[in-house]
Amino acid sequence: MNALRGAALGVGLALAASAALAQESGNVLAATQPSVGRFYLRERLQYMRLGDDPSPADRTVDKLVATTSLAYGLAREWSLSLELPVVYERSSPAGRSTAEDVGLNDLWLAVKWRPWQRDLGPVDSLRFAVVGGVEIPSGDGEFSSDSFDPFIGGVFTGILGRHGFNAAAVYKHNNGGAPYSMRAGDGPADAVRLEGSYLFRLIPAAYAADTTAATYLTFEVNSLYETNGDWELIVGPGILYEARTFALEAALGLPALRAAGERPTAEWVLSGGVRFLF
Amino acid sequence: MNQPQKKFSVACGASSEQLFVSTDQSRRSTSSCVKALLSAGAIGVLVLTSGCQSGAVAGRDAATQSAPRDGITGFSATLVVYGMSCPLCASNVGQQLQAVPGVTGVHIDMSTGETKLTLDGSGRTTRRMLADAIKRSGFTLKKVRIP
Repeated sequence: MNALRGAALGVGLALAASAALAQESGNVLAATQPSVGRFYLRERLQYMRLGDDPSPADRTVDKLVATTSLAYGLAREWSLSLELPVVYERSSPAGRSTAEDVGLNDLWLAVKWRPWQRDLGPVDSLRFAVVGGVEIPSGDGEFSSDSFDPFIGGVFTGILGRHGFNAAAVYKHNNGGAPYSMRAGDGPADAVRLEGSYLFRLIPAAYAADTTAATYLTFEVNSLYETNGDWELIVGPGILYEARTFALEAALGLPALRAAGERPTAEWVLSGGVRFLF
Repeated sequence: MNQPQKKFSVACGASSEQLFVSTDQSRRSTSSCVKALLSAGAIGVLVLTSGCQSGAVAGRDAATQSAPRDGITGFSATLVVYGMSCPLCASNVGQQLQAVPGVTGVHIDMSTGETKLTLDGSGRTTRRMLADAIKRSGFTLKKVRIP
């Protein structure tokens, strides 16, 4: 996972593995997925600034990542998803000239299995899913970790009336990585991601017979802990608009905790995206 | 292709609705069309040689393939579906139901979970098919109401 995804604390994995619908905020996993035989396409654009680099390079980095995610419903409880992130990076090491680069980050291949589900009412639902997969090296120079890194985790989603909750924990084992990698969660150390989100359905207050769209306010908490002791916490608000076949989303992430000893951390993250259901 | 079957249905008492469904089904592919032609020819021979009874059996068999015995013959049905918490969820349900044979329209009321179906009246749609569609969509079917 690259710096952008890492600093966004879960964006990459969320995009790759969630492939979800429903009350799913942009950067947090949800225990939802496309129905059998249906595709779900998600295009996401993220811009972030990384700084406070403790490494000798003392880098300040601006990143723009365009991520395409495609998910497919294999069965009622199973879905498969793939993520392809294209990155533009402008790095400014202290006292040196600025360097720019464009490339393909590692690809993410994930399977989601939902073993537990309770639909309590027309709207209310509780679900739990297991997510697992592997990060596949893109082989694109600095943008690739050059290692296959497996991950596994669990995610819970609860929707009760106007309120939606998501909570997820994912562990990723890194088989490679440079000591001063900018990719949060993709250095030599393993990574544990803990994240959650709350969604409040703003409009409509209550569904009606002719409801075809809804707007939600979101609040996300994304935390990434690495076994080398690095820890980063980002929180922020967002908005989500959902129609019957597409959704639009935007979110802002701000650091609440930056305790990374070997890489720069996010100063802010701005993201927006669109999802389509086929 | 329609004429021999229709004539046969009149002669032998098979319902025109059943045979209409059979004919409609035969349009789906070349192979089924050829089969229907062969079937019609065979039926004609049977009518001439063995009388109406054996032909009626063949006609019923053909019709049964398209309209299951427990098919819903009306023009509407209502499902109550739980767990549709958002518009995209409803779309998932709608897409799966639209793929069920005989379903021509779907209207979902997210406030109650009531999913009203318009059917073509052919009897090709069964409760089982509707239940399977909801299952594939990832939600929970609570009730099926047939007027």
